[in-house]
Amino acid sequence: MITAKQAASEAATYLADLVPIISMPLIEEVELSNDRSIWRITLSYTSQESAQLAFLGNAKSYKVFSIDAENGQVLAMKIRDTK
Amino acid sequence: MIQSELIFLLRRHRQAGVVIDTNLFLLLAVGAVDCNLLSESSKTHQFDREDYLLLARFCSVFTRHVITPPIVTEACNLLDTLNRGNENKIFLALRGMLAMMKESHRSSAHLAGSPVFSSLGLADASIFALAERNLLVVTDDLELHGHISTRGFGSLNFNHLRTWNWR
Repeated sequence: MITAKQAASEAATYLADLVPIISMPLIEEVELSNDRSIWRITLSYTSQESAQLAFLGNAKSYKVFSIDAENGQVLAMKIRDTK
Repeated sequence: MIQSELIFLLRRHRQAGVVIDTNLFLLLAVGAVDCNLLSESSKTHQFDREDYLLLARFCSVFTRHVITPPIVTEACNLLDTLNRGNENKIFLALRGMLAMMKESHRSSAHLAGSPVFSSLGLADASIFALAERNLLVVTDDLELHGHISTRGFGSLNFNHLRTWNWR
């Protein structure tokens, strides 16, 4: 089974491949499912696009990743609604 | 970023004290008995020995540690099964911890008037009330952290501290 640190690293790598981020993603939430099969990692980050619109409010975006706890594969990435 | 955030929060809240949320209180209670037990409960299995040592080290910076009855009640409920399976050692450790902490009392009716009660419940409302009194809240709950920090009170997301520790 992979550790929380490894799961967070997989999520951050996946995010960096997808989104042109301009700051290091921050780990906001770490959760292991009750059956220990999935790590859920919430990352916050500032993308180039959102930074340009920062005058409209918070430039931070949040994504929650589901990571296979056995092999570290990213199973899902969803928007994390923080409101 | 985390270093400057930490320095700012420590300067601002070190005198007033610290309150840790229920999830992290579980980490401290179980870790104080045996860090190998962390993986035995679904309430603590996201943490390991490194996390326990990090949180304990961070709390040791403060001389005033504050707890509330709703946090202790919630913690006891969540740890009941693990405690029964380990000769009551968890609750005995809790007893020792509580003897060294300051307890803050607010009536449930008062806490129910908190802006966070309707969405986060009584334990988090009791934590929010302490944040309003300038205590630093340490939490791994993004929603509670957001409610506190956006109102200008002191909150440290424990996952930020973990990230810094992992590097």
